[in-house]
Amino acid sequence: MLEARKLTKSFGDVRALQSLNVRIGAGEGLCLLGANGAGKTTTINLFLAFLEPTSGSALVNGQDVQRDPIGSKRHLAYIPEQVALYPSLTGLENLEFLAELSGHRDYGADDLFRFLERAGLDSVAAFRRVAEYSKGMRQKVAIAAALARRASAFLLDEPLSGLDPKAANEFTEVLGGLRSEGAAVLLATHDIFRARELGTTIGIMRSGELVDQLDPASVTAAELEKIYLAHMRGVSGAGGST
Amino acid sequence: MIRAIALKEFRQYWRDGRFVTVFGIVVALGLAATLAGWSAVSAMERERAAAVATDREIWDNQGLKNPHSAAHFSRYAFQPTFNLAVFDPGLTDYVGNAIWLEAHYRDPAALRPIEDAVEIQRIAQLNPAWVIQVFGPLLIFVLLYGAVAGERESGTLRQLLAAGVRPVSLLLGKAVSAFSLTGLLVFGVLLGSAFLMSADGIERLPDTGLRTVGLIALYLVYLAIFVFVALGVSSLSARSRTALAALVGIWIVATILGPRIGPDVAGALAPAPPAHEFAARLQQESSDPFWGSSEEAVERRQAVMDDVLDAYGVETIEELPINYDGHLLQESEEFANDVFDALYDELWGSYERQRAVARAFALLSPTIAVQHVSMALAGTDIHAYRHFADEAEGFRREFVLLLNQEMIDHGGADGYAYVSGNDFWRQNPDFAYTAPGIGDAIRGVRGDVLILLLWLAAAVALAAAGARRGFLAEVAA
Repeated sequence: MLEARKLTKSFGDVRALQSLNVRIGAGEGLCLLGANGAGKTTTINLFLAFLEPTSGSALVNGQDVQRDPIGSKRHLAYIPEQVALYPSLTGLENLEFLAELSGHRDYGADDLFRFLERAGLDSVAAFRRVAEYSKGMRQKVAIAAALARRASAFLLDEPLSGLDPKAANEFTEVLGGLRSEGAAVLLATHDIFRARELGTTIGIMRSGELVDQLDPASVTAAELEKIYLAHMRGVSGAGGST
Repeated sequence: MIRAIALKEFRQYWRDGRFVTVFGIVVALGLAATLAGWSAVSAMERERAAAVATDREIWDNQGLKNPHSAAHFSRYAFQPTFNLAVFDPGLTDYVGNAIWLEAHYRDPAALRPIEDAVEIQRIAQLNPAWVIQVFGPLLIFVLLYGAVAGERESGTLRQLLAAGVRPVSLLLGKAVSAFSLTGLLVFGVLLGSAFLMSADGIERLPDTGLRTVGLIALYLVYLAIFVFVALGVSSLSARSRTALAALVGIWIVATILGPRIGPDVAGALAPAPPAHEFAARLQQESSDPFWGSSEEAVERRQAVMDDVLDAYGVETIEELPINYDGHLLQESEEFANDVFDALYDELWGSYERQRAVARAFALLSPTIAVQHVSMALAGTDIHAYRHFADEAEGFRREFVLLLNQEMIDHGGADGYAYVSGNDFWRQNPDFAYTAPGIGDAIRGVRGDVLILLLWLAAAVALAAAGARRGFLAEVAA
């Protein structure tokens, strides 16, 4: 479960995030749409305890991330736009390392292969060095790592950016599966079409504010695009909060 | 977590050909230096054994001779090259390993191996201690320059922190991996040295076991300093190339320039007297005031004569029951010995002042401090040499006294015409040297040990600052 309570962050005079109140329960996904600088990444950084909020709090599974920045990350998975792995190690070795970091030294090779397989990476690729991996393959290792650490909450920062359509589709399917199994997902993206597929709620952010929340089932992609663009132009009452 | 990070680092080192190559070169250098050290020490010990035997044989078979003339002919004290010189020869090649024990004069040591060295050997003496002192830090810097800066550049640092890795765990994991590898170098070289040191024909230094443990601890502290410096610099550097440039600069100053410049400045600020001037002073101040024609010398000799006549209650030398020439010679020895003590104290004092200046440079270069402590533990520093020289001098005085006493007791009125034969020479003792224990050896380097501990504390503080500032900058990015 991910929750923001009046979460606010200012950098000097600039208010990067203003009184964000959201609650993403098990099996729910909030997709944040917004232009660059809208406050999406700031929100993620606050959940990661990389930033200290000016006011308010961010909670992961009920734990305030500022009070326990290490413990709150125990079941949290973070997948950035560019998943960084160790290029001289194989996908399997990277996964083994990441699993150990999360305290799981007990996994055998079968367990690790199962995670990779579930993330969509075949066993032949698992033995190749990551230096030879595409962006999509690296993201699959990151998802496998999230599975290995039994993550119940996911923070994704533009994970679909730069993926080819096939890879983006595979990623969406895997993530959708995780959500349907009970994961709470917070996704920052520019991709309004994928946002519809992945989210149970779509949030539109502008200048640090969550200006609209939509049920993806209640709007078509075309309508969502229209609402989004209207918000970006600053038209008040553009949306239909649900 | 630290274990996982360390194992991952080992894997990366192994996969990266550069690390394997550099490590292989350094290990090969260490082993080559160990073999070279063993070969040199073995050769010196063989030569010493042959020289000791020759010296004894010549002494025993010199035939009929006045004992005091024999004291001028005299013998040599040969300094053993002990087992730990295989690891760290220190000043062995520079201070000379034989002292001529002649009457009336305290000679400096002769037979300096460096005099026989070819030019390149004078510039760089390959020995195991030097390999660790110079290449150990370089190996660490090559392993660690990208420890944090590289993770930052590749983006893995942000992900590790997002995964809940504590900065201190990350640094310790990296430290453990680099420290283990370079520690292996220390253990490998020291174990190789220990194996060769136990070979026949090489004398064992007292407390060799304790000294070896001390050397291992010393070099592990030394390498730990550079591990934490590297982690601190890498944490505080935005890019790994910047970190590498900074670390190479530190390496050059700490291991190359510092140990070269420090002793040079020390020599300039606290100069020791030039050898020829010192020798001239020794000769002049020990001899002329007793044997010269000055009023002072004449009075001194007259006082000796008056005292001995009084002591025996006789009026003339001819009435003395002892050989007066022998007595006068021994009196001149006693006079000269006081002069030698004073002048050599001055000389040793100048070396101590030089060492103090060099020690101040250790605040810039821990290599200087580690060199001092390493030589002390290996029994190859200036204190070890002084101990040998003082012991040799003590023996010289006893030996000259023995010869003069032979003349005094048995020469009667024969004066310088009295002679002894081979039977007497063969009863005379050999110089037997026992080096001091570890307690004496390290007494003079406590300041250096303290400086090394200060360096370690400063390096840990730098790494901690890097963990705070460098990692905070990362997460706020």
